[in-house]
Amino acid sequence: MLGLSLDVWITMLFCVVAFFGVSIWVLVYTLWQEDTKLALFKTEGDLDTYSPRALRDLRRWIEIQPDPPPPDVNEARALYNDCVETLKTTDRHFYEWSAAEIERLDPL
Amino acid sequence: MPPPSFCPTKQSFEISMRRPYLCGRSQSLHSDEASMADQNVELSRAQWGSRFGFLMAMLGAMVGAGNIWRFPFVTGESGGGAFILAYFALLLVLAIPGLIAEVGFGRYAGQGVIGAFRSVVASQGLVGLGVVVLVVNVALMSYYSPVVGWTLYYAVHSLLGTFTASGFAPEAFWNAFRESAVLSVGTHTAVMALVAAILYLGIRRGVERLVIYAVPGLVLALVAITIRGLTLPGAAEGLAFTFGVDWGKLALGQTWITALGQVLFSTGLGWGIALTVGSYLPEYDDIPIGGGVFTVIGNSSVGILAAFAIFPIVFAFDLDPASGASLTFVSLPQVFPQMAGGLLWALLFFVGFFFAAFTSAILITEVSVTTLSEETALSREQTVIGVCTGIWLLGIPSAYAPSVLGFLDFVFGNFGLPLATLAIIGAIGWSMGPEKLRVLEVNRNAGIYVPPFWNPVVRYVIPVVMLGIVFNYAWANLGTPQMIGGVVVFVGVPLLSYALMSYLEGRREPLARDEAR
Repeated sequence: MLGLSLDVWITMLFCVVAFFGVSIWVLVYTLWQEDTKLALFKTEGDLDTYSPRALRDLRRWIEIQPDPPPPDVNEARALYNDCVETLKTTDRHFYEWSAAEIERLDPL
Repeated sequence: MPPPSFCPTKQSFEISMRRPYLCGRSQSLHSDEASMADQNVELSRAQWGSRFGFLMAMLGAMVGAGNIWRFPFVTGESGGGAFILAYFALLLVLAIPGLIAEVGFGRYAGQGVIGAFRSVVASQGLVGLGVVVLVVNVALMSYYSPVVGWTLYYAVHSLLGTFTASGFAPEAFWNAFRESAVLSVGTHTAVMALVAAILYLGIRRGVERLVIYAVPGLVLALVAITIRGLTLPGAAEGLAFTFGVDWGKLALGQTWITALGQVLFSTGLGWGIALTVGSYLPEYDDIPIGGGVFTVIGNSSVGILAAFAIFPIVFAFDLDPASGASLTFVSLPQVFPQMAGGLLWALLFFVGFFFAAFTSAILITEVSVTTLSEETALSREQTVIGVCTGIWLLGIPSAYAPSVLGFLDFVFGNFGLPLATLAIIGAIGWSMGPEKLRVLEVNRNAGIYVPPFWNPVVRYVIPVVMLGIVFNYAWANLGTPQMIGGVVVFVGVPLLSYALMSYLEGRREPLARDEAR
C-alpha cells in the first residue's frame, strides 16, 4: 500500500498508538479525574488524598523514621491522619477504598 | 473549555486554611513567627488556574525547535522504527520517572530553584546547586532568544505573504537576515520584549493564558500540514525514511547514546523548568500523569507529528533532510509557493514553529523570574524587567555572531544542561531521598500509583546515565575549545556557586534571626 513496506506501516501504527493514542487518552483521563475530584469536593466537602497502597507506603515510611522524628515526619503524620479522617467521615471516595479497608485504618 | 481548578475556589482555599501544612512545606523548619510569615507567603503564591493550563505549560515548555527540525531527522538517520523503540523504552525508564521527581520536588518545596535546594540540602554551600540551575537557564535563554527571533521573523513574513510572492529567493532572504545585525538583534529584542510582557502579567494571566491557546494551536497547525504533506506525490519516501526499520542499528551503542541524548534533551529533564512549573501546582492536582506521562509522551508526540508533517514534504520536493536549521528556513520556504494554498501552509508552519519556540522561551525565563523574585526584595514585575533585560544584554553577542551562538549551544547544551539535571536529580536522590518524595508528594492525589522501584531510577540510573553522556561528549571532543569551555562550566560553575551561597547563606541566617526577633 502506497509503496510502503510492512515494517514502515507497523512502525507508524506503533507511533500512532504509543504516542498519539497514549497522549490523548492520558489527557482525557486526567481531565476526567479532575472533574471527578471537583464533583466529590462539592458533594462530600473533602477528598481522600491517598490510594490504599500509597497510604500504606506513607504509614510504613513514618513508622521507620528515627526518634526524635525529623520535621517532615510530623507533617507526614498529619497527612496520614487527615486522609484517614476524610475516609471515615465521607461516603464517596476518589480512590477505590473498600469499607473493610477503611474500617481497619487507625490514626497515627 | 478547561475544567475549574480546586485551589482558586473558595472551598479549597478554606480547606488549605484548615490544613496549612499542605500549603507551606517549610513551616516546620522555622520558628513559629517565621512559620506564620511563610504560611502567608505560601497562601498568596500563584497557582495554575486550571489542570489544562498546567498540562499545556509543561508541554509548551518542553516542545521546542528541536522537536520540529531535529527529531524527525535523527529518527530517520538512527534506524527509524528501531530507534523509535529504543527511544520509547528510554522515555519510560528515564524521562517519565525523572520528570515526576522534578515536578514533585517543585510542589514539595513550593519555591523556585534556590529555595527548593535550600529546603533539602544539608549545607549552606550546597544551596549553590540552585544557582547552578539558574546560571544554566539564563545562559540557555541568552542564545535561545535569538533562535526564537528567527522563528518570529519568519512567522511575521509568512503573515505578510513574503514566501509566496513572485521572485522570492529563500537562500538570499535567509542570508540577508542572518548577515543583518539590525535584524538579528532586533528580533532578539522583540522576543525578549514579548517574553517580558507575558511574564509581567503573571502565571495565570500571562503564561497560562498564552499556553492554553499556543500549544493546541501548534498541534493543529502540524496536523493540518500532515494532512497536506501526506497527500503530496512522493510523500511515501519521507515516511519510509523516517519510519523504516533498520534492526541492525538497535545493536549499535551509538543508536542508544543518540536516543538517550534525545530523551534527556527533548524532555527538558532536570533543567529547573518542571520544578518551577510544579511549584505552582495546586495540592489536589496529580503529578505522575500530568507532570510525567503526559508531558513526556505528549512532547514526543509532537516530534513524531513533525515527522509526519515535514518529511513527506521534504522528500516530495527532493530536499536534503539533514540540513537542520536551513531545512526549516531555506528549503521549506522554497516548497510552499509550489503547493496549492502555499500561503496558508507557510503561515501555519511558521506560526506553529514560533509558538513551539516561544512557549519554551517563556518557561525557561520563568525559572529565573520565580527564583529571583523569591530570593530578592524585588517584586515579580521588577524581577521580570531585570531578568529579561539581563538576558537581552547577554544574548546580543549570540544574536550578532553565529559563532558565539554555536559555541554557547555546544558548551551549555552538552555540559551545562546535564549539570543542571545532575544537580536537581542529585538533590532529590541523595539529599532529600526519593522515598520521602514518593510517599509525601508524588503519590498524594496521584492519578496513578508510583511504586517503590521508582526510587533507584531516580537515585542511581538517571545520574549515572547523565554522567555517561557528559563523558561521552567530552571524549568525542577531547581538547577542542568547546570541550574545554564545557569542562570549565561543568567544574567552575558549581564551585563558584558553592562559594557564593556559602557566603550569602552565612549572612542570611543572622538577618533572619534579627527579623524574627
